[in-house]
Amino acid sequence: MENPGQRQPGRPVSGTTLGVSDPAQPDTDSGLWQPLRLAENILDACRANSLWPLTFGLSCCAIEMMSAGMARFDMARYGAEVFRPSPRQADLMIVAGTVNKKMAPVVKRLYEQMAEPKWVIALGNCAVSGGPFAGEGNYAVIEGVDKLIPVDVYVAGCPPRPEGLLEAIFTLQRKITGRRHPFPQNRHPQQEKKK
Amino acid sequence: MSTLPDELLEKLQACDARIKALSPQQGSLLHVRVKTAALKQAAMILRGAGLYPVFMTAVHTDPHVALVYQFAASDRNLRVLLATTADRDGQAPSLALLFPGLQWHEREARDMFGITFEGHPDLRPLIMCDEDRDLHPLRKDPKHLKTLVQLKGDDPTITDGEAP
Repeated sequence: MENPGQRQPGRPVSGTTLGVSDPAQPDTDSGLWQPLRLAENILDACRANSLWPLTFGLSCCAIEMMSAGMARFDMARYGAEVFRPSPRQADLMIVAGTVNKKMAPVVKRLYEQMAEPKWVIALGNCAVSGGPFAGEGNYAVIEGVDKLIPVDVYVAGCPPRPEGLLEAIFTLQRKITGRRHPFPQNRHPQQEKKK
Repeated sequence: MSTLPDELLEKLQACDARIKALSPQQGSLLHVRVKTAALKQAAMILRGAGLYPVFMTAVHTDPHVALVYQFAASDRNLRVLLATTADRDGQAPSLALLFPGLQWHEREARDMFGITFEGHPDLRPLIMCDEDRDLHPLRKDPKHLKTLVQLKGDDPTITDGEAP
């Protein structure tokens, strides 16, 4: 599920304002800004197709994330396989699992250390809302990672299947570029037209 | 190799311990209950007999928190369940200097039950974060609190109205 409310601070929503010509909002400031728009569109397409996630997992959802990275589900098909060991090189944070109170400052610091533009996927019920830990008597678990950092895409499930994470990446790509990318790649739009 | 270590029993009885010996077909299990003040002495005896601690845990009972240590030997088929209670202020002697491996167990028991182990070298929170230093999540509500006799009524090592 895409989160329409959370936007990157200081950054225009590239998908809706730059990436797509919206017929309801005609392009009024043409001319001077066109080359910049074009450059931004190209950059956004590059960003969306080479999302570099940060290498960390907080609990069992991380197993599904690893599975999504391995050969059977192969996130590499969608350009998101380069798990980075340093937040300075990553632009996608996949919060895979339970964020507990002791881990919260670390997650927050890692997010702050990532360079802009950056995106966050909350993978699994614990990261979305605290999951089974949310309730009376909970003393150690943060009930949703969005209490710490802005989240772009939520994936429900306990744990979500690897397809869920792939769908989250497609949703994030749509959020970045404004359109859903024509994947899988063996069905390229050029080939679709020829049929 | 005797299954029931008589020498050990005699030494433990000398430090005012109440003992229930279970002798199943293989090995033996001792339930030993000591007063808080005698905990260190009993642990010294067990260490002298070549036993090592397996785990340490606690149970919140009325009126005190009960502490349970399990010891085992690697050369004999023998396990010892050493039980005591923390005193009214939640204080108990630390065994961390006798068995350094118990340091983390006692830090966890401090986190969860608020027991102060006297003589522990470093009683920082282990599991809870620093701002929750005074939150002890495994302490029960008073309405759910039971006495040791209610919990383990058939155990002859426990008597009613037990004080450390």
